[in-house]
Amino acid sequence: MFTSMHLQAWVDHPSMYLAVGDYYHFEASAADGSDVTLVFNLQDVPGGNVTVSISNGQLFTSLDTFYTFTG
Amino acid sequence: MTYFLLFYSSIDNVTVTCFNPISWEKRTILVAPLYEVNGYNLTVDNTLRQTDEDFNFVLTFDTIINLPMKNVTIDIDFKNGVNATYLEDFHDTIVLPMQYSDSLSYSTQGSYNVTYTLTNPISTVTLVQSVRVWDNLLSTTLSCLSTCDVVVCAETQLTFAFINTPRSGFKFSIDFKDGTVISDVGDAIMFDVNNLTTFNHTYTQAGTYNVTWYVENGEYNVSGQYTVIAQRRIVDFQVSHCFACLYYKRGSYV
Repeated sequence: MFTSMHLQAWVDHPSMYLAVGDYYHFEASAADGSDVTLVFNLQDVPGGNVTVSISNGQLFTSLDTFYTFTG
Repeated sequence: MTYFLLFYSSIDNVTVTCFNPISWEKRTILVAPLYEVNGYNLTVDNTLRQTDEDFNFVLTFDTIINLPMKNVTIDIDFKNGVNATYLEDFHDTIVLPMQYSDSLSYSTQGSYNVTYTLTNPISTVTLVQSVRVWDNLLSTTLSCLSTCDVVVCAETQLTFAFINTPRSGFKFSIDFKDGTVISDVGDAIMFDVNNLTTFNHTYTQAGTYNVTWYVENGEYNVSGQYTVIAQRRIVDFQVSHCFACLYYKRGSYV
């Protein structure tokens, strides 16, 4: 059975252009969902995968990560 | 279990995918990681030229720079009313080095701070290249055009002129050493074409006059001396005939 979580995802920055070397805040939110795991596969470099999760039946509302592109 | 997959692709998109045992969703964030403008070098072949001689400006992006920089706009202000603009997409696979050459001459003397403004979506860099435009004065000299040349007649009008002059104007001064000085030492004369013609002067008293002069602009200066010997004409010359009178008085008439 498919259940929509009304996922939203964005980067907290006014422009799509992101400077290599600066920190940026990536966020995701949803209206519902439990035991959430976020895998931020940002770059094919060491440290480019960031995993954030909520377990034990907790309800997911939002998760985020900070990331710096290394070019 | 719910999974969110977010990955960065080379085409600048970040896709967020949400999984759990009973649902999944996907969203895309458009991002474009890029570097600030870097790897540039601005040169000019010579920083001093005469009017109407070309400067060759070259902006080079080196072989090894950080890419991508995305769209880089290059705005050039040559500070003489001439501008140029280039737009280049510095993507990951652009062939380097990249050069932008501009040849330009100035019709008016002066110092110019040419500015290159390099802009991409996340940075702005301003480069300034100073150049100077001054006509060579080193061959310029003061000459007397009058036929009397060095030894002249007082009360006769003499005509002087600067010869071997450049295209543009220059500051000058001529001291005739009899109290008369002709000069224009204001800066304005340098920013127009040279329109000096001749200078007339008349000495009223006999004497030796070491006329001094100088010319200069923002880069060059030359001075010199011109000797004028002025003589007064012999006027009302008479030979007395008193001796003849005496002779006749003593010999014949006395």
